[in-house]
Amino acid sequence: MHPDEPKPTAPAADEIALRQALSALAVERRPGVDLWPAIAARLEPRQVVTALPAGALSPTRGATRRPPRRRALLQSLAACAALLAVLVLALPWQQSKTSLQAQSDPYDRLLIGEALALDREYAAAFAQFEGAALPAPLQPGLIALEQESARVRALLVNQPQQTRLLHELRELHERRLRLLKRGLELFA
Amino acid sequence: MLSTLPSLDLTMPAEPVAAAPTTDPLAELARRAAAGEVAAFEALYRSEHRRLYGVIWRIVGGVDARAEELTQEAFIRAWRALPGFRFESAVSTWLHRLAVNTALMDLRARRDAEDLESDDGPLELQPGQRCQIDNQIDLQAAIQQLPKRARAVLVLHDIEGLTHEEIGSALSIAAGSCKAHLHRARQHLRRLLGDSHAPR
Repeated sequence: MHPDEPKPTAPAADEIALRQALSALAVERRPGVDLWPAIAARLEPRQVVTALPAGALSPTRGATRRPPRRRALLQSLAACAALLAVLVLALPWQQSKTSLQAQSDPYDRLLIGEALALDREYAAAFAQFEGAALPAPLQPGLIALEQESARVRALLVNQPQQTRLLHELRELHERRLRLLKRGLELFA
Repeated sequence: MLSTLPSLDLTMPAEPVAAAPTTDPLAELARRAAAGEVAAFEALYRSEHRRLYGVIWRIVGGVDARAEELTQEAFIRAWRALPGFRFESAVSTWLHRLAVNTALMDLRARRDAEDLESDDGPLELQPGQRCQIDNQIDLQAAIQQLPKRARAVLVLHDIEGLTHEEIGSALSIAAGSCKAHLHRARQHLRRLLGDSHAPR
C-alpha cells in the first residue's frame, strides 16, 4: 500500500453525501458557441486518392494499347518496385517503431504519434495502387522517393523534435502519390 | 506540484483493453470519417461534443475559453488519428480518453507559465469561498477551486467514473497514489464546502 494511501474505512455520512452530489453532476455541458465551424476550418483533407474507375487497374485495359510482352515486363517491374519498397521502408520502420514509442519525452512522443498516423494515412492511399502496372520510366522516381522517405523516417527516430521532418515526410508521400496517379493516367 | 504530472500518454490514446460493444452506434460514422467524410465527422462531433467539452471544462477549472479551445484541439486530433483507429473499443470511449489526454497535456504545458500551487500543501481558504453543497452550482464552483491535480483526479474518478488504474495510467502514477490524491481532493473539497462537510 502506498504510504499516503488512506486506510480503507467505511465512509462517513458526509462523505457519502459528497460522492452522491458529485456523481449527480451533469457530465455533459454545452459550450457557449458552436465549435464546429472552427474545427471544420482546421481539418486537413485526407490524403486518400479518389476511387479509381472500375477496371482502371485491370491488366486487360492496358493490353489494348501495349503489346503483351511489354505489359508483362512492366508488371514485373512494378512487382520488383513493390518488393523493394517493403524491404527499404517497412522493415527498418517496423523495427524502429518500438524505440519510437518508447521515447520518454512526451512532446517527442506526440510528434512520433503524428508520424505514425501520417504513415497509416498514406498507406491506405498507396494500397489502391497495389498490383497496378506502371510505366517503366516512372519506376526510378518512385524508388528514389521511397528511399528518401526511409531516410527521413530514420532521422525521425533520432530527432523526433525536428517537426520539419514531419513536413518533409508528408511532402514525399504527396509526390509519390502524384507520380502514381500520373502513371495510371498514362496507361488510361 | 503539477510538474509531477508529466508522463502523460501524449500520443493517440491507446484503445482500452475491454472488449468493444458489438454494435457501437458511432462505429459507422467513425469509419466514414476515417475515410475522409467530413459530414460523418460532424455528426460524430454533434453527438459527442457536449460530453467531451464537459470533462475538459472541469479538468481546466471551468475556464470557458480554454475548454472551447481544447475541445477543438481534441476533435482535430481525433480527425488525424481516426484512420489508425482499430475499433477495439467503443468510439465514444476512445474520444473521451483523447479529450482527457488533451486537457491533461494542456495542464502540464502551462506548468511553467503559472504560479503553481502545491497539491500537497494546505489549501488557503478565503471567507467568501465557503459554500454549501445545497446545489450543483456551489459544488461546481468548489471543484474549480481545487488544485489542478487534485481536481483532475476528483473529476475523473468521482464524476467521470474512471477507475484508479485508468487514472493512474493517464497520469503515470500508481493506483495507490491516485487513491491518496483523491482522498486529499475530497478533504479539500469538504473544506471548501464548509464546516458541515469537514472531516471530523
